Amino acid sequence: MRRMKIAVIGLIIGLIITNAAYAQKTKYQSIFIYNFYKYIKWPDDFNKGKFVIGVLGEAEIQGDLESMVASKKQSNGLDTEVKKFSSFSELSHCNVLFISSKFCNQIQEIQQAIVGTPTLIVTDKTGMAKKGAAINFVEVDGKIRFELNQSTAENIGLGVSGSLVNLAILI
Amino acid sequence: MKVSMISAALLLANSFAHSQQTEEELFDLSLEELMNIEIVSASKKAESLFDAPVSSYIISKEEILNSGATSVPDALKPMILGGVSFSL
Repeated sequence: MRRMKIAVIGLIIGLIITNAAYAQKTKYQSIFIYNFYKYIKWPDDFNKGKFVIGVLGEAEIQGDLESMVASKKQSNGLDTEVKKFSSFSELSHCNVLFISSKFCNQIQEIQQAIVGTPTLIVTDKTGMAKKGAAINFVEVDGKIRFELNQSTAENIGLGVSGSLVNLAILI
Repeated sequence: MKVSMISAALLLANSFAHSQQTEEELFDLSLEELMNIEIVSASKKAESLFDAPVSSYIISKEEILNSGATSVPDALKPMILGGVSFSL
């Protein structure tokens, strides 16, 4: 009985720690996404003053992006907006589009929906950089890394700086 | 067992405290700096919790009868310095 109690408490603590760890990861990923504007060039006629980050589907990172944008507004950072989309028919002008895990297997339909627009697709799911994402987050030795598919980015009209290429895992 | 409960509580407190105190500095980090930060590895922490050393004692039936103990804490008292408390 006592062993069961210990096991249950251990499980609960483990769950809490897991949640805390995941929240930390998405917070760092949101800062990465914000910083991409320094390393990637969108066509001049695509920039409408605001840096728009879209999130397609339910994703923990959305909260982190919104917190960061609110914080950056206070410190006179880049004018950034976060847009939430529940389906790819809703998609509108975005500099960056984070695709939630659930929508990743529909990436081709999503690319079709935004064809011709230089929207940087970012994901956090194994293998996505080979399937249409320009940038895919991975974890290596407990640290955040990102895969970069340079041709995917450049084919849609984005300029990728050499500094970002040097930091990336190239696909 | 008590030690592992305390260490678990400390781990939790530490992970929450860490995420709050560096929030402002985080937003100003460069990509290189972000890539050097170690994300808490949830699986590792969970394993260390379950692997935490637990003291085990074997008390024979005769020892229990001889001690006159009528409960588990009473039976363990002679084994553990500082007494036994069940806080679960």
